[in-house]
Amino acid sequence: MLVLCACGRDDSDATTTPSAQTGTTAQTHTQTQTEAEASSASYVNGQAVYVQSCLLCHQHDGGGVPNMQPALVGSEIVAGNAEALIELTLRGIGGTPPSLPASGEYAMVMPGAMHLTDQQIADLLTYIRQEYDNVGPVSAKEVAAVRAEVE
Amino acid sequence: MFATTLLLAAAAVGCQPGENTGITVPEGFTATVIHEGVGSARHMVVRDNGDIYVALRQRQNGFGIACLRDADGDGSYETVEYAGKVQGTGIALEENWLYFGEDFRVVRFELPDDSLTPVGDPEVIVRGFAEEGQHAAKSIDIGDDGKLYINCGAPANACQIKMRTPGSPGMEPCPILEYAGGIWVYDANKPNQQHTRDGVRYATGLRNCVAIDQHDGAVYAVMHGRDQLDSLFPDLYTPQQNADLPAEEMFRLEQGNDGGWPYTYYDGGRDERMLAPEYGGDGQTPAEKGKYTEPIQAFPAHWAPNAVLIYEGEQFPEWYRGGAFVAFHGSWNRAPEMQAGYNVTFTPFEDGLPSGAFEVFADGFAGVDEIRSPRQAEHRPMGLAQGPDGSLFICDSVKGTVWRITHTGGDE
Repeated sequence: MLVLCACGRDDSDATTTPSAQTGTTAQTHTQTQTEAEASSASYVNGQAVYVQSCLLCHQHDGGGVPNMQPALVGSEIVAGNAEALIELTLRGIGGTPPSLPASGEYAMVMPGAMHLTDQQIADLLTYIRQEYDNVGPVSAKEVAAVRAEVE
Repeated sequence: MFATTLLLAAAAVGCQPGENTGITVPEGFTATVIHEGVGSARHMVVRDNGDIYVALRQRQNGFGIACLRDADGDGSYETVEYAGKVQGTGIALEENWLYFGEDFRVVRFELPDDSLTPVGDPEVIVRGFAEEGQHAAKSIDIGDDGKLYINCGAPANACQIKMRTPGSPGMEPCPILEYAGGIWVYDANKPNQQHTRDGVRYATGLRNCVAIDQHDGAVYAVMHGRDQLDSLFPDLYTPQQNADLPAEEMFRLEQGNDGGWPYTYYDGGRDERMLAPEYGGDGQTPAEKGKYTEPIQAFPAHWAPNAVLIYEGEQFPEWYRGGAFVAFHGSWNRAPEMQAGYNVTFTPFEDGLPSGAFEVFADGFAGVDEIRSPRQAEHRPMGLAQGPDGSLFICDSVKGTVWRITHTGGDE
């Protein structure tokens, strides 16, 4: 059964992912100085990736387009399990395999972002999670791990 | 530029005088809200007796056809009944049949003479459309020839090998054209036909023509042009160029015509068909001449044409007779530029072809001057229909508002 948790910063409950991968807990941790700097650089770089690759569909404010592209703001998927979000970003939704199947709720399909590097995806997801849902960053290492499973 | 007049009659349900649901129309015309909140309105038809049928994108309490009646003849359609366990975009009337275009099948209901609502279960007329996302809306029209015309939008943007992925080339040939990316014709009276086996492909090379109107031996269609020129080919196109390209093309289609998608797109600034970047184009190279059907008019990029109506009435002045109204749902993909469209245009015709430039006929639907996202639009024009007395009806997908436009002034 698919359960998406209503997530705030402390999203420690397991969620099932669209691919039925077992979710790991998203991490809430005290950020060291270095981590905070890295996070901040990630945010800025991620914003650039968002503008280039995502803004057209998800819009300037992450609010999406009714019936076409979902909002990232207040999104349980964006705020939830990092692995599931990475997988979705890599695969896309509604296209041909390895795309994830469409939910039927939105008329558009989302292309996969396999052509982006691990760092670019980490930066992008760090940006949108912070900007639109106020949750913690995603690392390139996490992206690499999911990519290895997906590709 | 014509002078505009803002007039709003307060007869509609829930509409108070002066309430800001008004739109602007040219001098001599009156816009009246005849119903509000009909549901997630898509296309619309008006019956000979004045009853109105609106297709809903999502069922309302289980039913996807809103049936409106002005029971007391006061000009506002207070009576609404919902019928039909369907949902989708297309709707058409032929004698005592109400046809409905769901995303993956076209059905029809019996509509008795004295009944406001259709009766019985839907009868499947055509099934077997590919169940893929993007451009699934099946607009339909029953032609003068009694045949069923169906828009089969392509489940794609530009037929790339890797969908919507920067730099990915197009599939050669584009296999989608075999079953979509075109307009198909079917027998309107034969049940359980299978797409594409039992139909005829009327025209190809059309990415998505939500706006179709068969009239006088041809199909008039306005096409949604492709997206993302700059994000897919940043070395060839700037963001500004993406906002301005390609044109939304209006076609006058005959059997066998080819609108050029995906191999080409239309550059409204150059007034020229160009080779698409997915197929070797570079923003400068024109398409092969003589190979594709030329548009009869080019509209601004991304305005999203969702309905076209050739005016066959006599209520409007001579200038409007035989001409084409187009409802533009409004763009979502012009960022970082502001969004545009959100209006109804009119193009004068002579002998079945445009005789001049288009003009904005009805405006102000969005309710705001600058639109960054469709979410800000109060209304988005979606459907057009002509009443038996020659009035023009417009419906909106956001609030389910229905307007009636009448000509009350003198001849222009």
